[in-house]
Amino acid sequence: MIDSVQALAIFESMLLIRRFEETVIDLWATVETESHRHVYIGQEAVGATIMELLREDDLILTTHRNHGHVLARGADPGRALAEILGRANGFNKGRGGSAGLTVREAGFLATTGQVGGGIGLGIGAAQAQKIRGRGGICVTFFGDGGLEEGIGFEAMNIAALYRLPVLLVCENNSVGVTTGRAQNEWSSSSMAAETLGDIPRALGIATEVVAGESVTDVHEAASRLIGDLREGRAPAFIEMRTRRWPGSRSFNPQLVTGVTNLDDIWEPVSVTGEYSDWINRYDPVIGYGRDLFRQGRVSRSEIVAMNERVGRTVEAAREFALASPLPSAESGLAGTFA
Amino acid sequence: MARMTFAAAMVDAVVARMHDDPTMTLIGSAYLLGPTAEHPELNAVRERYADRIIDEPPIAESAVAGLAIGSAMSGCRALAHFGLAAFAVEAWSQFIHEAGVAHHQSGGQITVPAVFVMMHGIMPIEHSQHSRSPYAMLANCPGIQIVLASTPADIKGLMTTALRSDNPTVVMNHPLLMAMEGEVPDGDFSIPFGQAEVRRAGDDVTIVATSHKVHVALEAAERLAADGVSAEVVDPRTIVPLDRAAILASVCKTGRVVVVDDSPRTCGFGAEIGALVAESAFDDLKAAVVRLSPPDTPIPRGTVAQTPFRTTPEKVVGAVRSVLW
Repeated sequence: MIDSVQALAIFESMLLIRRFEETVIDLWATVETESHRHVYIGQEAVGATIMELLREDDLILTTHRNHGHVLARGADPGRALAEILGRANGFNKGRGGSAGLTVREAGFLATTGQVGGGIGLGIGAAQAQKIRGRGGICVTFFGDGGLEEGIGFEAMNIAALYRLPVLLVCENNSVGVTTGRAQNEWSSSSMAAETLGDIPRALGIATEVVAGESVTDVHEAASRLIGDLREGRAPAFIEMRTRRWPGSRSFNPQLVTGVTNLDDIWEPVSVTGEYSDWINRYDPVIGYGRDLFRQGRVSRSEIVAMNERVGRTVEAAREFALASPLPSAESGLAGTFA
Repeated sequence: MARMTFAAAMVDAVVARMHDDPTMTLIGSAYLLGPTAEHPELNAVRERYADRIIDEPPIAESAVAGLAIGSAMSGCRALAHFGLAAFAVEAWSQFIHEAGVAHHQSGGQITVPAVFVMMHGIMPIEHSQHSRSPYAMLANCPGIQIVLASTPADIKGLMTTALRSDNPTVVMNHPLLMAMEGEVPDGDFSIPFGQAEVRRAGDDVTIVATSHKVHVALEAAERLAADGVSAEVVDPRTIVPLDRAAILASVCKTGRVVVVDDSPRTCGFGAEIGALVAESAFDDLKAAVVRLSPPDTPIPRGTVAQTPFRTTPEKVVGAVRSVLW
């Protein structure tokens, strides 16, 4: 059971990610940006819960779908949004953009858009943690597509041979995608394996398969495996299976499910329309809100207050990002070498 | 000063850094020094710092590179040895997309203090897949420093600099250098990157040579001197960064250039020097630049078939004569 302080922190983090991504989609539609367009809607439970379980000295690798990870780790939303818009005040000075947003001070080593590349880097981070010997770990996030590349297998083999303290979090967001390409959605992964965890399991790596929309399930599995890693039982792999958010589109995500209406938490009957099934069954924000509300761990007024707080944070981030200049032409020539 | 082999001098630098840097990881096989070399000091380091040694990792060059780069990004220096440069090509994505861009793409938040060591050149008993000198290919991917040492003192000094640098560095060594002996400074000794060395001063022609080909060029210069031709041999020592000023200064003096190296001809290191000289020293040139590079075909197996690919002192003498007359 997650204690209430932690539960509310996770929920607020999820709500921040949702409101932030809604704003990102709005900005993509209204402000001129040169940007990759990947959002974390539908996967909030994974990032928010795992970040809540990490220590300050833990290290993280992530991918082009990084916004939720960065926010859940507590990075400044204004500088994150500025980076997503390619502005000079972003964390990477505008050189990373949406797909490369990295926050070293929050423990992110690299955000790589080279699919699978982070799985290789993560074993190095884990080796560094092992040398330091203070119980720190590395968490490597990657999508189901990341396992299509060969380096994932190579890296998992080395992690298993040398017992490197890395938690491999495979965010499989292809669940439920059957006709994706026809609908101009991001395609599903192309893996012959039915259960992705079968691949690391063949190397003797402890493996869990979890419903990624469920904070409770993510927390149960991740807290246990992270505890194992800190005690030397390493590495570990979790397949986080999440239903594909219906608004996912290649190059241009659409907010087809609408701006999230928190009334859906206390008035489930209010959910109607084409995407009501996703909202009722798979939206992690609504789902966890309902859990906490029904358990009496949070009141309607507390959620409303939380939503207002998050709204102010995101609005401040939007103002900061839009006020930030684009990088100069000269800045592109800087920083090849340290 | 002590007299030692190129291999021993490299080990000297690596061992010193393993002692001094408690976060450094050494990744690789016993072939760090070549298949037959033995070095007790290296073995002692392997035993003493066992938790910082990844010995004989799987045949997985991409992930081995990732191991070194991720460790380096975390602030723990790493040296990974790949055996042959031909094998390391498997790790190119990690080198060029991760190590090479991390500092720039992160806006300076991340540094990559990693060193990648490998053998380049013609491998007499090997077929085409093992005989590679792919440093020009890497030089075409900005963000990676490239060391081509030619003497025992230089490999110690350059390896020490590589192991103190915050930038990723590829060190490519030629197998014929490994047993070569020379005087090596004692103790802490480093050579800055981007500083060419004039191996032999001369007035009539500039021979720009790298790695093992420095010795071939010096042998040629010796023979040319007997005929009254004064050749200057310039060894860049690092091709990224490249000491363009030293090369141009020599060309301004001699007006003639022969480039001798192991990268394939098209878009190779020789082509780069030819372009540099054409752009920046055109008015000083008295003859066209000549490149002595391996032909643009896979390097064949067997010493006889490899003859056209081996740059000998005779070929260098011939190239110099072609620009003199």
